Amino acid sequence: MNFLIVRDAIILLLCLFAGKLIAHALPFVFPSSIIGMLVLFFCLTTGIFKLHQVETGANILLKYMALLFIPIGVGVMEYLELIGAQWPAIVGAMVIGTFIVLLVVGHMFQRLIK
Amino acid sequence: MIWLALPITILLFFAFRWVHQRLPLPIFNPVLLAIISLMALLMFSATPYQTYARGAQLLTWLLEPAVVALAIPLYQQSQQIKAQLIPLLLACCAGVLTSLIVVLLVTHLLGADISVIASLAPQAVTTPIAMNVTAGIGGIPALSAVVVILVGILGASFALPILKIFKVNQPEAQGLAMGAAAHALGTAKAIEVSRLHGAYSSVSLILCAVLTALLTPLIFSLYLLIIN
Repeated sequence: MNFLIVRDAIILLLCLFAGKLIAHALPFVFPSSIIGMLVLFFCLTTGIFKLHQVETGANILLKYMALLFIPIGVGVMEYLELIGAQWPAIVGAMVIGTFIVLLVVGHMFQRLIK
Repeated sequence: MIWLALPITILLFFAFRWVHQRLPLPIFNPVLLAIISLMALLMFSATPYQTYARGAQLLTWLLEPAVVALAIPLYQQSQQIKAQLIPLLLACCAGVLTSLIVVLLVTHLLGADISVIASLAPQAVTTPIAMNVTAGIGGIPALSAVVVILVGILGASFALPILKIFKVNQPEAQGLAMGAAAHALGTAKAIEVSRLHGAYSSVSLILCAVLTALLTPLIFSLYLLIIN
C-alpha cells in the first residue's frame, strides 16, 4: 500500500515536471499544473501509464483538494486594505459575475446536449 | 509556533467539514470558515501571514500535483467528453465572454479605477492565468490573485444551490458551470459532489483558462475603445 502511493506520487510528479518543462518552453504563460494534467491525460490515453498505477494516490489528493486552498486563501488578509478601498466594484463583479456565468454555462450546455 | 500552522489548518478543515456535513448550508463551506478562523487567529496572535504560509507550505505545494490528478476523472469520462466537444467549447466560450462583459460592465458602472477594472476582468479563471492576463492589460496582479480566490470560495460555496434553484440539474452541466465560474476551487468542490461533476469541471477549468488568456486582451481593448 505504502509503496503503491509512492509510485502514484512519482508518476504525478513526473507529469508535473514535464508540465513545468513545457510551460517554460512555451512563448506565452500557461499554468504548468494544467499542462501536467494534460500530460497525464495523454499518458493514460496512450497507455504509457495505466489508470491503476496512479489512481490510489491521485484519489487521495482529489478527495482533500479543497483543503489545499486554505493557506492561499488566508493570504487575502494581506490585501484587506486594498479590498476595503475598492470593495463595491470587487463585491459587485464577484457576486454578479459568478452568478451569471454559472447560469449561462449550465443552461447553455444543458440545452446543447439535449 | 510555525509548526502549528499545518496541524491547525488540517484540524480546522476537518472540524468545519464535520459541521458542514451536519448543517449543509452553503455559508458553512469548510474552506471559507477555516480561512476566516485562521485570519482571526493570526491577527489575534499578531502572527505575520508569511510565518503562517511557511508553516503550511506543504498544502500549497500539493496543489500542483492535485491539479495534475484531475486527469483521472477527465480520463474516465473521455469518451463522453470527446462526443460533446462542440457543445463544451460553445458553453465555455459563452461563459468566458459573459464573465468578461458582465465584470467590465459592473465595475465600470460602479466607478472603479481602470487598473481595478483590468484586475477584475479575468476573475473567473485560475490564478496564474488571471495574474498574467491582468499584468498584460495594466491591472494589479496581486488584486487579481485575491479576487480569484474570493470568487473561487464564493463559487464553491453557492454554485450547487444556485444551479439547482435555476433548474440546471444535469451533473455534466453543473460540473461544467462550477469549473467555468470558480476555476480550481469550483473543481475541488465538484469532485466532492461526484466523479462526473469533477470531470466536467476539469474540462471547463482547462477550456476557460485557454479562452480567457486569448479573449481578455481583445475584449478589454474593445472596452477601452468604447469608453474613449
